[in-house]
Amino acid sequence: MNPLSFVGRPDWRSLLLAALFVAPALVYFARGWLGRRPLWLAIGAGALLFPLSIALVQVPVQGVLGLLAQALLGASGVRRYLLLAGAPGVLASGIVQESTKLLVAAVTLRHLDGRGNRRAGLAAGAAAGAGYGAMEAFWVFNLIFGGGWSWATVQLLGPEALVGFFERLYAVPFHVGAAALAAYGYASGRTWQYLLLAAGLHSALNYGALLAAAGVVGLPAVEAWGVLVTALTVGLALRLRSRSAG
Amino acid sequence: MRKRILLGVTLVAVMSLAAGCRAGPAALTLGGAPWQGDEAARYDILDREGNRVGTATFSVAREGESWALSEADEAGEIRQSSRVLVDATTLRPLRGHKEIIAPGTEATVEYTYSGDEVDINALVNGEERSAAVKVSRNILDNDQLLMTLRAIPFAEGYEAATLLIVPANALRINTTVRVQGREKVEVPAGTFEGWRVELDFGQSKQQVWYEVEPPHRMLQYDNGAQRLVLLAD
Repeated sequence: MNPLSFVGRPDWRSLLLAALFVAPALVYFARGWLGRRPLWLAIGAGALLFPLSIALVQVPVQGVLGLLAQALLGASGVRRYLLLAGAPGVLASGIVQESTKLLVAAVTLRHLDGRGNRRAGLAAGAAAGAGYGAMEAFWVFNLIFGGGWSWATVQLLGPEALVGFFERLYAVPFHVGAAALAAYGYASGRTWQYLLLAAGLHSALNYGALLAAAGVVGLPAVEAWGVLVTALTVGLALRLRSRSAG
Repeated sequence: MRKRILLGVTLVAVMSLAAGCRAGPAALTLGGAPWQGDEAARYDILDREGNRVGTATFSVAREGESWALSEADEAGEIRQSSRVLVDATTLRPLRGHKEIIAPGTEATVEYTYSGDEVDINALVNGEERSAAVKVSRNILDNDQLLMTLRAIPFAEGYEAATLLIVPANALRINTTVRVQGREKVEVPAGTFEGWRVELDFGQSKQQVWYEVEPPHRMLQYDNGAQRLVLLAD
């Protein structure tokens, strides 16, 4: 997979919407640190590492896991036990993406001299997550606009044509919140616990798509699940932020 | 702080402008219809592993001052059929009809190209819907694309742009067509010398092969997920 395929033919509306979607969560979690250069570099690094981590790590790992599932269960077995066979791939997406964001946050924290400062950890994580989530949103919006989407599409297909936008409304804050959690753990010396928590929440969020693919639930249920997991993740990060005040 | 925010906003604005100011290739040119009369071609639909998952039939028929380009395919639980009337001289679309039957969906779409828009009326699971999409002169309908590209001026390096209209979803897709070269193509109908043509939809690319010899039959089509291969008559 070519990382440049995530950029495709850039559309200005995608850039604008990605920036708008990411701004509230970023400003909230990183307020007080937004004047620091390393934080803005973290946003840039997060954005840069999104296509690289997906194309060079996540997709190849999922490819190998897919082949393993095929070898163990056969093609019909994978279809039959999709919820089980697809689980390692979903778990891999959580681990790869949250580890990538934590890497950026950890480097940022060192430049902020913030190791041990939990609020700095939350801010650095939020910045890394903001860049990562914004780039993902830019890619998704680009696919939608590049696919010729217009208001006429909504008139013809109904609310279904807005799902891509709705998903980004919670997926972007999720990226910010989950990365903030993992970086909080790094700053407080409990890196593995919080990284696993963030990766677990991320995998739980993505598992909704697998449930839909297996025909267990419909689209509304998948979106409701996404909102619920995001509320839990962002709520937890907010609570940690208020607890680490002062 | 303000300087940084200003810098960020400026960066987004500059990138936006850069994204919107890219010069594209020339408009797609079409010669006369390469087919001489009514014709039909059958294809197998193969998955990535080469397993046969369905069949497709493309046909052309004369209707007064128009050509009717029809396509019907069946793969798994999805059945689709379409019929697009195109101007016999310019091969540009006039009106069309499409039916889609899939699990949970039964849709019929009727549409007419008039002036600078296409008016679409759909019946989706018993619910009536309508929309209008603005179009330019340089357009092709999604359901005529593969047959109509047989009329492009085949030459290595030929590159041209068109606006692809997908009435079933009310989509407008900026599309670049590139003739990448000649190569041997093996399909169930035989081995042919073919033109390899790339369809660049911006966010994705597809490949289609046309016979070098007129009437430039479509030999093979690869959309990334499935492949259509020409069967013997």
